Amino acid sequence: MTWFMDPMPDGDTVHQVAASMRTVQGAYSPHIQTVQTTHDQTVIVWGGNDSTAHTQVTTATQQASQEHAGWLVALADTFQVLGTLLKIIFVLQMAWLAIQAATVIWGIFTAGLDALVTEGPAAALAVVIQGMRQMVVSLLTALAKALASRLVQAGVLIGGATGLGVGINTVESQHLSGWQAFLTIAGDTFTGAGAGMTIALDPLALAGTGVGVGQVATQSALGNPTDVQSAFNLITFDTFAASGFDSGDPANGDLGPIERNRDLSDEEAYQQYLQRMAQQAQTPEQYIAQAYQTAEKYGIDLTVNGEPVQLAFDPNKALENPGGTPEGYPPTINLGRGAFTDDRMLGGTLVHEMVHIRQLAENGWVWKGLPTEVVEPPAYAAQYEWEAWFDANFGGK
Amino acid sequence: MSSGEIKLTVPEQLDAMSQAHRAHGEAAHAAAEQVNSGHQALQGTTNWSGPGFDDISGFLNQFVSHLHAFGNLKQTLATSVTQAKENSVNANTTNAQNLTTQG
Repeated sequence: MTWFMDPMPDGDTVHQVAASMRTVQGAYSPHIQTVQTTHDQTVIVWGGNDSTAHTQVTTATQQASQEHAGWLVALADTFQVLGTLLKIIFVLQMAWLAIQAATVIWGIFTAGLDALVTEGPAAALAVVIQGMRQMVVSLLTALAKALASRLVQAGVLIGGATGLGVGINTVESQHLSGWQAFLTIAGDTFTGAGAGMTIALDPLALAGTGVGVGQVATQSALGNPTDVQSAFNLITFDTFAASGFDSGDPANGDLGPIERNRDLSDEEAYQQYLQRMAQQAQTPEQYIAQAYQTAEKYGIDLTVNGEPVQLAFDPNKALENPGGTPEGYPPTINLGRGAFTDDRMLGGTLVHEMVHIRQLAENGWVWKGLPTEVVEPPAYAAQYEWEAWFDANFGGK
Repeated sequence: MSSGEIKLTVPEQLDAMSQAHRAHGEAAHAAAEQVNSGHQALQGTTNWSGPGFDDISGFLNQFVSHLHAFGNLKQTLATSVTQAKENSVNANTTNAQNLTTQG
């Protein structure tokens, strides 16, 4: 069994925990208001230095309490989204298994002649499942990073309160009300605090276009599945088109754009990206030298059947189109400027294109007979696996 | 004692304030227990481990500790306010005695 079929946490349990976080927040928040009301009444009749010190401490603890309420809301909302994602993944995993079973049965009736009919859908599903699993990791990593940052600040704040006003300056300098603080958390969480990803705030958007699964899979998870062919068509469309993938046309000798700049949906980030790429401009020879050096640095094999693969620089490739693999011999990988965004992008591009090189080698150096939905999934799988290895060892830099 | 109305005297109002702080502290401890319970439920599911899952588990552990620390602080604060009330009562008693002596 392949790794993407490994079981994930149960979505229903995660939904239950989300609901419990809401309940906790609902029970906790009224105390914040009670303390505030009581304090406001107390200062009417109580004055002096002790009263002033008490007000300072109460202000600090109220600020921390608002943070608590915000965290509980963020956890509840995120777990709600997470539970839905996990349920969708489960549905897709079941669909993948069903396709495997259908392949076996169909093979029995056709003596194996038409077994390839189901390979494309299964491979596309595999890519979607892998993407969604990565989405889950990114979601949780971003949330933990954003909340932990606030937790450190709250720790300073409580330390100040214990010291009777020592930490008040911290509170005042932040100028944050509770909900402003929460919005900051939400902003950090959902606009790319982790891994440079842009994550939509709307849970449905997150479960849909953000991971390329689209409404069909969402409906499936909610118990309203559409027919298999429509679902497959929409999933592949969302995966390879709506979320930035462009499958291209193998008949053109170029597998087309390979979307890896997932944060480019943000215009400002895109402009910054363009500026950075312009600043990094090199001569074609320098680009190619950099590619060979990067391959050697990370141990990426640039040979096929014992022969070296040629690298070529294509200045006309769009930035969103980092690599391509034309048919014909000798084996060649065309690299555009977009491949040279950073080591991660360059390495991932080379790994991706090398899968296509090996596919070409097995198919007589032509793309004929190799539809996009068959050749792309294993290439993306290899690329994602390499990027995960890179992130684990080099921190995504 | 209700905290929804202004008390006529400082001691009564400080009593209400102390109770509000104490109740808030208890709520923080209760929230910590419930967050911890939810975390344990998540950890009880299949494959709650690996990148992302470990990160959020780490945060939840810190959050639980933080809420307990906060709860303890509020209990201390409640005790401090009670002490302030007693100081206020003692001071008023002393003043009254002084006034009686002088009278």
